[in-house]
Amino acid sequence: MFDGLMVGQYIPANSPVHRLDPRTKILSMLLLITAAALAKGTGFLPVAAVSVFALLLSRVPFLFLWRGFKALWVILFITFILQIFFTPGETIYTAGPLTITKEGLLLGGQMLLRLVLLILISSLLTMTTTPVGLTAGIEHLGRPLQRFGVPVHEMAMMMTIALRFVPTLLQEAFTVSRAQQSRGAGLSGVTLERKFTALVSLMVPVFAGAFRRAEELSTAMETRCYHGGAGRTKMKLLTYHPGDYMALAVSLAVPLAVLALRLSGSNGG
Amino acid sequence: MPIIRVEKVCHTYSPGTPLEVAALKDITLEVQRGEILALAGSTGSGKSTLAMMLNGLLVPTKGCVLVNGQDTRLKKNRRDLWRQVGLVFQYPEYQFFEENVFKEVAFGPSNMGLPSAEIEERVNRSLEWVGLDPETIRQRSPWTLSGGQKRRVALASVLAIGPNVLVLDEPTAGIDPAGKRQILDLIKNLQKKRDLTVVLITHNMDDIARTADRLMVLDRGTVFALGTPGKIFEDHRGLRAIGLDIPYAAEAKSRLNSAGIPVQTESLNIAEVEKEIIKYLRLKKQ
Repeated sequence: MFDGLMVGQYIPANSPVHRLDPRTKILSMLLLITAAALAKGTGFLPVAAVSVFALLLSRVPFLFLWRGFKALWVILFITFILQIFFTPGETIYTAGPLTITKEGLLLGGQMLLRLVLLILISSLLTMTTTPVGLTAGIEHLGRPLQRFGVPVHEMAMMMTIALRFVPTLLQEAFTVSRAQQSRGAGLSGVTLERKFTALVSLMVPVFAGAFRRAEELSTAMETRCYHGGAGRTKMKLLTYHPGDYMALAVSLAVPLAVLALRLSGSNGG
Repeated sequence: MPIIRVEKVCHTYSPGTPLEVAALKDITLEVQRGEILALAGSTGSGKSTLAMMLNGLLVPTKGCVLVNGQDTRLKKNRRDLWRQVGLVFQYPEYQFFEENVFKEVAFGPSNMGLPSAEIEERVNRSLEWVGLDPETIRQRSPWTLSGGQKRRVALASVLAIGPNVLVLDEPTAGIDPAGKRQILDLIKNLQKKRDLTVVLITHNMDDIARTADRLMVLDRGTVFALGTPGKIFEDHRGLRAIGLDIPYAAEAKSRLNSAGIPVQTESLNIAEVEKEIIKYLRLKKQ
């Protein structure tokens, strides 16, 4: 479980999507998600087309996406089932107290499609953007908020650190769990009390380790004279390229198209 | 019959992904009852992966590991393996979680479901084995101990389970020289007096020279050498090339020999080498 891949983990590659500016990708993702949330009926077409096109461009192996979906499959399925059975309307099929309605099937299908697109779009962002790039992009986009006293740099730094330490802490949790297993934790025929002790034997060392790391990191940052964002220069400057403008234009066109389709009312919905 | 047999073992992490790493490639090894076998290799050589296979925490992707003739591929065999093969991880004191030393050491035995009188006895006994006084230390918080004491408490917490085989991953890492000596002497003593079989994983060659009966050197997942330490340390070029050192005594011997000063001793003990040098100097004076 731990040495497998996580949902939305960054997958290194050199594709047109990977090369896009993180800001472009964040904005595009927001636009596409808005489009997916607004879409109805034929409105899903442009959203799906652009997302799938971006996925193909990104050269992310389909296998990784599938693993991400596998983790969320249960949620998707339950949503679908609930919609099918609990939407009033024209009955198609009855099984005991449960009835499937035409409206339910339509609504359920749309909901499923919407969720699948949301997962696809958001994992596309995280799979093609390094955590550092992601936070740099967020920090940049959040700059206007600084005027209102929002500590944008500090928040971005916190996010970078948190993302950086997820794999480290996971690894540590894994090691501790193995070490405690070697002392018989959580194995053969255990009582509830011993299961609880086994949990404590994992949590305490992991927390202690996190605090130890936090202290070491803050010392390391201070010895390098870190004092927050003011006057700090960047090694990698974010710049927009022609590709970014194109990506943004396409992404902006999608929600507009969805809106236009909805307003024209041609698809009923 | 060897107590542990490792047969043509391969291990691959995250197979089928871009993060795929072959940690072990076709390793065969027999651990004899009562010996101290050292496993050496630089970082990433696969020695820690091999260690985790010895008590069934990892199952090889290919090949098999037999402990007392029992195959670790069977879940039923794997479940009770922790009682037979005690594994002391690197920096084991990071796994402390109890409020006092007694409870920490008692964790293993209580997971075995032993009666409290037996647990009490095992805790006291294993603390004594590692050279700590149970009366004065049992109520102390493990976090307040010195580095060397912590390490010994961690060792006691595995010994209290009563394993026949002790696997130690870098037991002297981050400990001062005096503490290092203490821990190595302690391991040697346990092997002699308690009839323990020891697998010692380290990249400290002086530790190996001091304790090991046999040595296996791993290099990027394959066996580089297997034999007595004295023999293996003769190939200092080869060891250097794979990122390892040779012990101080072996280094001194080889430099003197290449300078035309013969030092004839098989020993890796620095005192023995010293005697040989003095003998040579006396001869030269005459």
